[in-house]
Amino acid sequence: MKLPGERKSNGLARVFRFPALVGVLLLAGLLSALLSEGLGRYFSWIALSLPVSICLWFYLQACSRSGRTSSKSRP
Amino acid sequence: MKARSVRIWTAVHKWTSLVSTVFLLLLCLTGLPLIFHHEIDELLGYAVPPDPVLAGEKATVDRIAEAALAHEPGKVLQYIAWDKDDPSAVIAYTNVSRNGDPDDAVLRAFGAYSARPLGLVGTGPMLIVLKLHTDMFAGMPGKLFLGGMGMLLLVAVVSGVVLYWPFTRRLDFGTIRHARTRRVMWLDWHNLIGITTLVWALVVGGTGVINTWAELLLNNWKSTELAAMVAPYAGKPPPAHLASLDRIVGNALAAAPGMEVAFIAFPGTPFSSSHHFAAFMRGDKPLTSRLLKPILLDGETAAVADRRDLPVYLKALFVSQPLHFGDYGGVPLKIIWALLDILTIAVIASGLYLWFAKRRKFRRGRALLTGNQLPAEAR
Repeated sequence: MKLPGERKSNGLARVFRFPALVGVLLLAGLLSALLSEGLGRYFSWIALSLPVSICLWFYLQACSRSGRTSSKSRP
Repeated sequence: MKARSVRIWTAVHKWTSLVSTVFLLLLCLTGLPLIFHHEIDELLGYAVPPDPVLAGEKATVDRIAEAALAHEPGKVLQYIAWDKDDPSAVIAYTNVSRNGDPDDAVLRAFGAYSARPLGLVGTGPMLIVLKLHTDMFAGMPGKLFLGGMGMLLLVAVVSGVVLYWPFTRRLDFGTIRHARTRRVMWLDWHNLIGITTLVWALVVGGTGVINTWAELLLNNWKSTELAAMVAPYAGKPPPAHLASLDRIVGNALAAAPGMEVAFIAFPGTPFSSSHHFAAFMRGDKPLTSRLLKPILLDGETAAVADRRDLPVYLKALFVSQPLHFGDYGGVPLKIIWALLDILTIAVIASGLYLWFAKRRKFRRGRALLTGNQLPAEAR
């Protein structure tokens, strides 16, 4: 049975392309503040807050979706 | 990926995580306040106040040394250090003897201008949190043990990445299956938070492990490189009278243009020879300020005797420290560090929950899933 949000198996590249991008940006952020005090700092703040932003984004999305479905399911 | 290899990686992930969970939670929870230890010390009144005099000429190093000894009668000076972040404070380390136990050392800050005592350094409740975080009050064995737990974390993270594919290959990135059971929802959160914080967890975990070896690495450096530096002066007696500290500092600065003195070690301390002062120089950039360069100076004449770069393993140690503490990018970076730490706690806690929930599920005998192992694992 196929459930919403599920699909046929994705390839390795597809599954890991987003995590890999986040990983590379995190690594760049970790090093940039070490190597440069000016711009590097600002970049590191943006890059290293990515995991927090991503999790918050999907949390809010899930909240709004469950809000929609619960209001729909109400008789 | 074959079902058999998924089973093996699952076992690796499960056991490395389970064994280290309690200690990783301890490290994450104690690490959280430690990120802000400067701010907390300030709030609780344990921070060193600024020098009341902040203008005019700086006090001579000799005057500060005199003041330090006057405050600790009968003791000797081991080190004098200059705080990178607070140029108005000079920190004097006094101890019962030149090679006394580090735990017996008294660290007192003096005004760089007034040479007046400003207060003791490194006291207060954060010291307890720090001890819990670094060695759980168990000294070297405690440190190495926590290092071992850190290594288990690294294995758990890597095995988690390997398992990310079989567990999420049917889902879009970031899918949280809220409509399914609570266990499935938390599995999705565990996967999402885990994979996005992956690099940070590896770097902070890895540098933490390196830090547990700090004393061993320093001891190795002392017994090899430093020993080679002082070897030509092996027969020399301890200096009859010490050279002026201001001359030591002046000659060290002249020998390393563009650098400043991080600290000087007195003759007979673990960081020098019995006859020499050692000045440890640092650069002024975020990175070069971590890479100390030792200069050996004659204890009587203050003449430069030798200088060399630190070996690669000590450079790696010193560069790894800020990457563990998160103290190199201002207060915003510290806040981000704390948020990432909280996300890591969420990964550990959800992992523990998933293990409990799965056990419960199997115990109740409701797991009648047969056939392909993968979907059964993933659902």
